[in-house]
Amino acid sequence: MNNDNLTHGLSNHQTKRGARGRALRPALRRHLTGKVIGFAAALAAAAAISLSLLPTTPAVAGAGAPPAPPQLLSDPFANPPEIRYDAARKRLRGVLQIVSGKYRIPNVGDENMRQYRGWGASQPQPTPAPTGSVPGVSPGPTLRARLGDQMQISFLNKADNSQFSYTTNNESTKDDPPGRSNFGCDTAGLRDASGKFQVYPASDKFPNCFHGSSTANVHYHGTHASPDGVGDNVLVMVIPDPKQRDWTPIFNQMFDSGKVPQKWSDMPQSFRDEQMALIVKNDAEARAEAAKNNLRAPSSLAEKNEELIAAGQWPQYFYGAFPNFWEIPDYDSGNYKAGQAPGTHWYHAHKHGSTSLHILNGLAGAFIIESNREGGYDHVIRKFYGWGDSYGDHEKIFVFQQYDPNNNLERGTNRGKGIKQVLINGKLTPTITMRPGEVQLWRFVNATEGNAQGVITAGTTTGGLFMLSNNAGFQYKQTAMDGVQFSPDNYASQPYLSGTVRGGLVLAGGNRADLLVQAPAKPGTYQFKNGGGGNATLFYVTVAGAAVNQPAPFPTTWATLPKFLEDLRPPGPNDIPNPNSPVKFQWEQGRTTTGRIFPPPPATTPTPVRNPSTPPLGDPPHFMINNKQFGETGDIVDQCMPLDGLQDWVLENYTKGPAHPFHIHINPFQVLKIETPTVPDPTKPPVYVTYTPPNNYIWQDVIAIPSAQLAPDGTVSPGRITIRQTYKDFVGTYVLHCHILAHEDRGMMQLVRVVPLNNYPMGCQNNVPAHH
Amino acid sequence: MKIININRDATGTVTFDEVSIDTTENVCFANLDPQEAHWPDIASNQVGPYKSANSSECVIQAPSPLPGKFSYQCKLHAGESGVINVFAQLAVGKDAQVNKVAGQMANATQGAPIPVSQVVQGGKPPYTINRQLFQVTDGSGNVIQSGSGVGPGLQLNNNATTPDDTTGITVSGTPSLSGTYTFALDVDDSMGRNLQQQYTMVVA
Repeated sequence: MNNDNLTHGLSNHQTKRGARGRALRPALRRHLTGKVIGFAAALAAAAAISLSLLPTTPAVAGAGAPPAPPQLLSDPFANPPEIRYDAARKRLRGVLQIVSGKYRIPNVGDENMRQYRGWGASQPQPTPAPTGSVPGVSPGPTLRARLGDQMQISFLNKADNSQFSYTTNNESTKDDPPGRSNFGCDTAGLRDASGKFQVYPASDKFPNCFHGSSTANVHYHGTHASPDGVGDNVLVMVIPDPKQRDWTPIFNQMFDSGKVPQKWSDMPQSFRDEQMALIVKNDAEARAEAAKNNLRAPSSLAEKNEELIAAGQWPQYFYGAFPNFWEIPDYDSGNYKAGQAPGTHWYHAHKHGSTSLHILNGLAGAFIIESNREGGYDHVIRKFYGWGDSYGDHEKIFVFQQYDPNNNLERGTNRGKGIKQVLINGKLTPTITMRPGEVQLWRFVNATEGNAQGVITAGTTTGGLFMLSNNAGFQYKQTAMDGVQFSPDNYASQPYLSGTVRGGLVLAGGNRADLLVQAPAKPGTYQFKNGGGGNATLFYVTVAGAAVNQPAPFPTTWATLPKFLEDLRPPGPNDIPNPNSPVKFQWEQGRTTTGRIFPPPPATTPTPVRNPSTPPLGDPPHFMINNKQFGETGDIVDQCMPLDGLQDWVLENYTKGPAHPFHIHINPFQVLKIETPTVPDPTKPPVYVTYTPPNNYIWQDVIAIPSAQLAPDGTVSPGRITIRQTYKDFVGTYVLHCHILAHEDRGMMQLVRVVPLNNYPMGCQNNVPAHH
Repeated sequence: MKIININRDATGTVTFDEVSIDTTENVCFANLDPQEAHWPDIASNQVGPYKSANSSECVIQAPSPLPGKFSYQCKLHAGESGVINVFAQLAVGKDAQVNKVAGQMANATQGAPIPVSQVVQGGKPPYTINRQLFQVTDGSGNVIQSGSGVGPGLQLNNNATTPDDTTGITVSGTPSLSGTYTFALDVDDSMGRNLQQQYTMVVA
């Protein structure tokens, strides 16, 4: 059923006896309609495309570059729809909801998907899709706010469980058997003699396994906000309720007050009462279902909520709806010790056990935070080009995503078609149109799952920005990384695009980059391929029309850094060091390779004969940080820091293969050193290549830790990164994790807490929330 | 993931929806029994029992890496009234997806007929062609002609009408221009699978 299209869905689901044909009718109906509309669309598309393929227009990608192939099926590039700030009221108010149903993935087909959709307070609700049609997948709406605005987002989870498997958050299969996907880990494959599912979860244990994927929340990635309460709280879990009451009047009344609730008792009474009653009801239903199936009763979510409330904390489990409400810190207001960096950020669902599947459903969107202050990031750019107070068509937002309704469930060869292609704003290889010499601001958001195909590799300006467009006359200037503007020195030296940072501009899952891009003078069609991900085409640029006279391509005077973004001082003797550094990303002790490894068969057992076409089954790696999976030793805080603390951390990667992207919420960090092990001579130990800028450290909130290398004697040389960070303004509990999100789901995550200095370390382990 | 809907009407008759998967897909059985008193036990794969109150919960792998048709037995536990057995077939094959045959076609000669060339295979016919677009360029990349279709002198043959027809979609005809023919297809099969693919053929 598609929430956008109830009639269509009901016709499918109410199918009964002999209705095989009827079940297919919606698809046939669409196809029949498609034949009529499709033909017209083909003509329209041909006409539109022919504008960019005029006989006099050479489809040649500039001197030195090979001709670009025609982009016959390429849709025009379009930014996602937007929920925009209200400047007068200094707020961004809107509804962000998860809906579900059949959605079309280009080059894959129609699949049951969960999608973010939303609208602003001053916008009408989106019109439902016409009956019989299947809407296309897309990221959620872009959120655009300004420093100092209040975020006022009503998050509604209206996913329909009946369209998906794996839907709840309990843990009654910790002991398995019996395995039941809705009471523990997702399952796949056949059972072995012991009753264990061979394919999945295999040796994965709850909660570090794929599970609970209809429950969701919103993580505002890149924001400096409270991690607790109604801030950027990823420990909140919102159980889906497709038939929920309208919660928005309650939320809007709270928003209207302008007062951000600081504790649970500050929340509207009606919300508190109704929500807690709904969780009690949900518990009762889960118990009844368990009893009906002779399973142990699941743990009570209501009791966990009550424990937390009694301890003066926020409950974690909600039913159908939750508000996000906080002020975006404006450093210049004087109210904060650090501020929010204006730039390109994003949001996505962040439910442990489901983050990868959520991101593969497309549950993400861009979050643009602007500063229009004189001399500020946005002001400098817009003033230089004369763009006024908004970017308009000069800005292109690229939300890179993979869409696939299925997790790989640890079967590398069994990934679907969708995970192998990267779409931009839900479109396959769209085409941007630019005039010769025109400059645009491109905002890249890597919202992929983070696996190999999802690493967006632009390279360097000398080594192939997006491969084929190098030397084609495009000019680039990176202005920000992970939503934090470059210092004037970095703006001048371009550490990524110059190749000073090894590999150039490589966006791991979660990374963002802003670039000013000038089109070449020569008209033509230019192809941009992903230097990672098998050189797949990502998008095209058609340069056509009258030239733009741009005397200098990029601002000659760059924005000064706000004081809070200047280089952090080195920690001194009075700064409390982190006792848990280095932070080691690793598999089981001694394991350096991925894939499933069989234990050797007992000597008395003949080696089993396997069908060579059958992929071998064995234990997949366990994804760990500092020798344990998330929560493996109970609900404890793994990293605890004092408020206002200043620390250097070392991050290490002990796995050969994936470059695990380290991500920490709430506060960005500065990158001091990148140590990459290389193997110039396989007969000798690895040699480290080191990036150590003397100053002007780049701010990021995601950084891929280089892969480990092995010496001939098997000694591991880990990839290593040193970061510096400070914890200003907000106490609370949040997480750090690998941003290859399947790794996060399977345990590569730590619980993080900031406590007041006078409560450090005593307050580190009090009332630790679960994150299941 | 493909979901196989298990339906039961008021007379107690149970059916599976028709579904085909390839070896790279999971399938999931969803009990759509409105009475909620029954749940499927996919006996031949030993993955049950699964209670499913209008939800889909069990996932099985494609039973074989090799193409073929496989029979599944589904037991519906009907409370006090015992067990109902039903059977369904899953078509498992590498051709269950809609695939291109080749992106780069054999070189051809202007004015000479090309062999009938299959460009789309697999999936489940009949196919719906949403878009077909072409352009012909000269050796310098200049566009000589563009429009709807597969190119001057060529035609697309979409004649597969029955589910088991393996003809796919073919291209035939006599190219009337010399240059590089590029054409693109946007095709659906009857199961809603989509293929978007571009093809190139050099005509001397």
